[in-house]
Amino acid sequence: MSLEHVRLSQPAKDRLIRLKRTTGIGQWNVLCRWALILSLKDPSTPLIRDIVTDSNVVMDWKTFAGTTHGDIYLALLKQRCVEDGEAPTEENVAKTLTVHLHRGIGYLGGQKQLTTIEGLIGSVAA
Amino acid sequence: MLLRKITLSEFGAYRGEQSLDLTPKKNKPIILIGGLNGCGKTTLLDAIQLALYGRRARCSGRGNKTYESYLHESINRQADPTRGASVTLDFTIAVEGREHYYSVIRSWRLSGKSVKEFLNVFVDEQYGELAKSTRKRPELKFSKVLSEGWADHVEDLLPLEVASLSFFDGEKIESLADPDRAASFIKSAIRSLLGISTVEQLRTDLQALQRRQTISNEEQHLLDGVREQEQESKRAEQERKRAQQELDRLTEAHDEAKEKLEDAERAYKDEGGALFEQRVTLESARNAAATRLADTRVALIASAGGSLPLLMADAQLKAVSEQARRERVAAQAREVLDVLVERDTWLLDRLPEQAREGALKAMEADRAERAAAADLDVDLHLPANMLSQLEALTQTLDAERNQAHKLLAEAEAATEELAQLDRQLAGVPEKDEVHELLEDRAEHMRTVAVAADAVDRALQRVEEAKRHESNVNTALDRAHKDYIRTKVKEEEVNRINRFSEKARETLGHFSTALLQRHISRLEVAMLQSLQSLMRKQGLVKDIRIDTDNFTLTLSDTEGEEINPGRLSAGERQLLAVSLLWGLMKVAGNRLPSVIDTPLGRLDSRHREHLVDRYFPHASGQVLLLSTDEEIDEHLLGRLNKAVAQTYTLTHDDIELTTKVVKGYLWNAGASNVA
Repeated sequence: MSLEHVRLSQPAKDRLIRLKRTTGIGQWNVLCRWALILSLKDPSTPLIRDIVTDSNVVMDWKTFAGTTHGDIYLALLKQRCVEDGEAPTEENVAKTLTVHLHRGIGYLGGQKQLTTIEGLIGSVAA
Repeated sequence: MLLRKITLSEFGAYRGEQSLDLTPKKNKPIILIGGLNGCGKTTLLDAIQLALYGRRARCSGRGNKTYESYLHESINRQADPTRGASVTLDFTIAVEGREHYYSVIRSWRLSGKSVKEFLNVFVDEQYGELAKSTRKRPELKFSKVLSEGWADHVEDLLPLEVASLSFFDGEKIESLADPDRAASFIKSAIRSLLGISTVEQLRTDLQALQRRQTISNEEQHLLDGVREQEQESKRAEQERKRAQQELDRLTEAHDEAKEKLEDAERAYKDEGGALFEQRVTLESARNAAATRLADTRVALIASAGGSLPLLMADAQLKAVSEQARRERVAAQAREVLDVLVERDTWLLDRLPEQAREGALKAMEADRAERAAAADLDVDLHLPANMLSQLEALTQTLDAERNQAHKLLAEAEAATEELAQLDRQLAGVPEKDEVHELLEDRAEHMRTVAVAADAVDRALQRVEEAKRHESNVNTALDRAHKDYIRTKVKEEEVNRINRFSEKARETLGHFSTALLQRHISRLEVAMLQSLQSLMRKQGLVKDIRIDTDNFTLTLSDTEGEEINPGRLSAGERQLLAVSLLWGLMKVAGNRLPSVIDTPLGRLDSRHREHLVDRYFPHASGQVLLLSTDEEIDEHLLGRLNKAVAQTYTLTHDDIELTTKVVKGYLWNAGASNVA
């Protein structure tokens, strides 16, 4: 497991496919960024479980984070890693990313408000 | 035709190469060749025929033998059969007014058990051009074409049938003396020599031409075709007219329907026009709102790809910022600590003694504080510019949030407007009256559409009918033309038949007349010949030849028919000679006469007559083959002035070979009398 490749589980992929349709957002990475921040915003430590990243959706870090805020996303991840009680090693950071990304995808699909584009944008800029 | 020269090589009794110049001189047509019995006179005659006709030659020495065995036996017994024998005949002939010089070499040799035969024909250089008639032999050139096709070519120059008339020996004269055989001889002679066969051939060819003209029975067939096409054309025209009428009718119906629709629309506008227009306005406003909402959504989706999610992590970003600041302070502290130790030492040295104590404490405390700052609990190794990045992010987020606000407001407004317009549209009251008018209008619109469709289809049918009609008319034209062509051809066939029938009839008359003419000329010539040859002047007064079966009838002074049986053998022989002479006269002396031992049964008076009156006048060239008893010294003296060349064939009884010597028997010395 490394930061270079961000890989999704099959249920996460299925959920993202549905979200793509309802929101009109066509790109995996955009939805994934929303999901990650949604999870990071929640101060509770995620229930740690093994996530089987068995889907064929995979992207590298640069694609995931975008061109402008890569450092910031990484800093947020490291900080969260420390908050969750782990040393900010590369492996732990990658694990944190996977765990929070999947929890965030669950949040995205779970809240009715967040399944439309107006709802999604409205949740941050209302 | 003029025989120029014959060369025999190992042929029969002739050993080695023997050659005879056969060219006659002016007013001296006779080439006299003397020889005792068995010296090879007849062999010489055979050689001439063999050279020209090969397999087809009627050589006296051949009998019933096959051609190959005849050739084999003709090779001189002392010569090497594998080297073989040859006969060369030089002659000139006028073809189409030009004299040509030919040299025909027929040679053969034994190869294994079979005989190989070769034929080489040489012609003068100017063959086919205007050749000068010279007595000298011109340069000759081998002609492959003529050599291969000689059998056909010689038939053009001198047909075998004709040649056999001019080459005759004692036996032939003997056989002609028989009246029955004479009839068939006269028949074939007149036909081939006097050109009647050509006329007959022409008639046959014309008949063949007639047979080839097939009278076509397809005329009726073609006429039927024309009739059929005409009917088809009429049908097509009617079909087209029907389709046109249908089109007219449907167009009228369409126009009517359109008028009705116009009325309905007018009524609708008059009755419920305001509502109608309001509806249109509402619908277009709704569409505009829907478009605006869709556009806004697109912009929102685009903005979701920006920094917006980071807005949610406000607290986390603040923590990162704190951490970054701490890390920066630590870094700065680490950088200044060493410098401060040096500086503090330097500063303490400058201070007065009493102040040193307090300053040292303060400085150490300051340094300890700085060292503590440099030592962090948590070090995330954030990039040095993290703070400025966060600063920039804050500004970006502000801008994006404002933009998102605006977009959300727009989307909300558009959604609101859309919902309102939908409500309004749903709320437009449709009065029954207007509803009915609307229905009416829709009904008329449908009618118009149906009518227009029908008009379209009718138009297509009319076009199709027109195309069909033009196709049918083209076919009709073609059928007409075919019919006319056939008519013309039939006309032509009839004409050919008519004219060739006429021509055949004319040719038949011509043939009969020609035959009649030739026969009467032959009768006259023969009678003249006979009278000049016969000792008994008054015996035969008239000669008649039957035009149907070519039998000879002689009659005496009283007009009584003479039974040929009453004539003596010698007299019959004279009759045969006069027949040949007569034929040659009628044919125009074009061919050489070769006469072999002609005087066998004749008495001295008749011999003198022949020598004086026949031989010098028989033809332009007369090859006379004679024994010493036939043309003796006395007769030679009478003949001498007409003789161009004399040869003697001498036979060596020991070597069994014949040699050609110039001069006649006595003049040639005694060597021949062995």
